[in-house]
Parts: sequence; structure tokens; C-alpha cells
Amino acid sequence: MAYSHPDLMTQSLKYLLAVLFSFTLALNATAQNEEDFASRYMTLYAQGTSLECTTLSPDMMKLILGLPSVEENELAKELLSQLKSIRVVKNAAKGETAKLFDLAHQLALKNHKRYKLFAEEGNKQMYIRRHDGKIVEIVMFMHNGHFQMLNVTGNISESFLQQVLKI
Amino acid sequence: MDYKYIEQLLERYWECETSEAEESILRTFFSQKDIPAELKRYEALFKYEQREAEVHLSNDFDQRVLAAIGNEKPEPDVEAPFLQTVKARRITLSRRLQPLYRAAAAVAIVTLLGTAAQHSFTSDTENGAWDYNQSAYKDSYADPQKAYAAGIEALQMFKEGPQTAVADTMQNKQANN
Repeated sequence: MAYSHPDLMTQSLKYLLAVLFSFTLALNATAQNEEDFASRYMTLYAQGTSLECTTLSPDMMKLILGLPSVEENELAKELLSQLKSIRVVKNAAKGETAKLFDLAHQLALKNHKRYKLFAEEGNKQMYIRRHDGKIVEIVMFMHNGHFQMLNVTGNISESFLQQVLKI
Repeated sequence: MDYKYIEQLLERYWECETSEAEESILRTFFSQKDIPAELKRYEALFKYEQREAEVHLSNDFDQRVLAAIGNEKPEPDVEAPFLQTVKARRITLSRRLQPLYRAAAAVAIVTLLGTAAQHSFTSDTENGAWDYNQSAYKDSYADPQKAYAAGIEALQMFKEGPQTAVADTMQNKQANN
């Protein structure tokens, strides 16, 4: 920089530093830090219940796609390649099922801007979350004696649900 | 009078071959009153050398130097014309921290560029619109084959789910989050 006055140069450096720091924070804030529905649900309500969560992480999904059995199965490959994670939440104690279902329903309603109701049938509900216009999360929960929740994330096509019925 | 010896000394003096003692002889000779005419032209040189050799520090030199150090204002008659006054300058804290700001700015630039590059590469190519915190996922299975079986079983749950859509997903495209 071509500033000759030392105080002016110091001020400019301070200003530049502040701008860069703010910009870095802003960039980090927009980075990948979202939490999926099942994770939030477990954090809020799992304590003191019989809820158990089974997780397949993005790294595991990559490993699965490399399996020979998946390579040979076009449909499975097509479906799994759209997914980044799978979580299944289940409970063991039947007595708490209705409450757990209601809590999931209330959590979805509370986050209605984030999760849009996609399908509903009796004690079964399905919600989707979009980001940049694309489906990035599907949440389905139901109770038939036990509470069950399926939560998948990824870059999911519009025809995913039609395809998954063919498995 | 024969001044051959002096002339020889002079010859050797011009050749820089005289010793200290011989030069002393020359200075003593040229300090006397009667200098022969043919050697008169060298008199000024040797008198000058004689005079300069006698210059010594005065007895009160140390006292004068110490007194000058103690004085903020140097005595005009002591200060040599080529000496320059150097004033101490007060350096402010922000000025002293200036190199730190530069270093911090450099680190910030590198961090920013690295984060921006990572963000653009990963989100645009690998992750697409997916914006979840990858580190939040802890695997329940270590074996990919077992995980695959569990994944397929999980996806089968969609068959048990609601089959009738209540909303057109395309209508919600504009509503992010």
C-alpha cells in the first residue's frame, strides 16, 4: 500500500483486518452446519426414553456405493447415490409411543418453514426440506405400536419416492 | 656547512624509508632558526608535523566531556559543525503493533482464501445443495455390508409410509428451509 503516513497505514490495516475477519465469519456461517430432523429430535427428547437412533453417515454411504453388490444393482445404486445419510429412530417401550409421535409432529409444526408436509395418512406423516429449490431431506414418522422415524438427507431427486417403492 | 646528511635523510623521507628517530632528527633540524636557503622550502612541512605531534588532550578534557554529557544543551564552542542533533521520538502503541497487524492480515487473507476455496469446491461439486454438518454423523455400523443391509431395510419403510401426497413438492421450491 502506498500510504506514507504511519498512522493512516495502521488505520488502514486495522480496517482491512476487520473486514477480512467479518467476511471469514460470514462465510463460515453459511458453510455446512445444518442439523437434520432426527438429530434434533434425539437431542430434545431422547433422554429418559427407550429411543434408539441408527445412523449411516455420509462417509459410510460412500463406502456402500463402492460395494460390488451395489455396483451390480442399478436401482440401489441410483437411490443410494442420492443420499448422504440415513437415520432410523425407534422406541422399545410401547407406552411412550403416542407421546413420541406427538412430539415429532409438534417439532415438525414448530419448524413449518423448514419442513413442509408432503404426505399424511392416519398415524403416518412425511415432510420434506428443500434447500436452493432441491430436496435435501425427507422425514417420515409413524406409529403402529412402536414409534418409527426414517430421516434421509442428500441431493434427492423429485422421483426418489417413486423409485424407492420399487425396491 | 655541509647538509649532506640532512639531504640524504630527506631523500629517504620522500621514499618513506626513514625511521621514527630519523624523522625526529629532521623535525628538530627544521625547528631551528637558521635554515639554509636550499632547504627552506621544507621548513613549513616539518614545522607543521612538529606542531601536530605536540597536540595532546588538555588536562581538563575529561571534566569538559562529563560536563557536556550532563548538559542537555551542548556548548556551542565544543560542538563540531558536522555533528547532527538526534532527537528521541516517542513511538505509540499502535505504531509498535503495526507488524502484528500486518501478520494478522496475512493470516486472515490465507484463512479466507482457504475457506472460500474449500467452501466453493466442496459445496458446489460434491455436496450440491446439501448443507448439513458432516461431522455430526456418527456411524452405527463399521462394516459397509451390514450398513448397506440396514440402509435397504430402512428405505423399505417408505413402503409403509403415507402413499398419497398432500402437497405438490414443486410448489414449495421457492420456500427454502
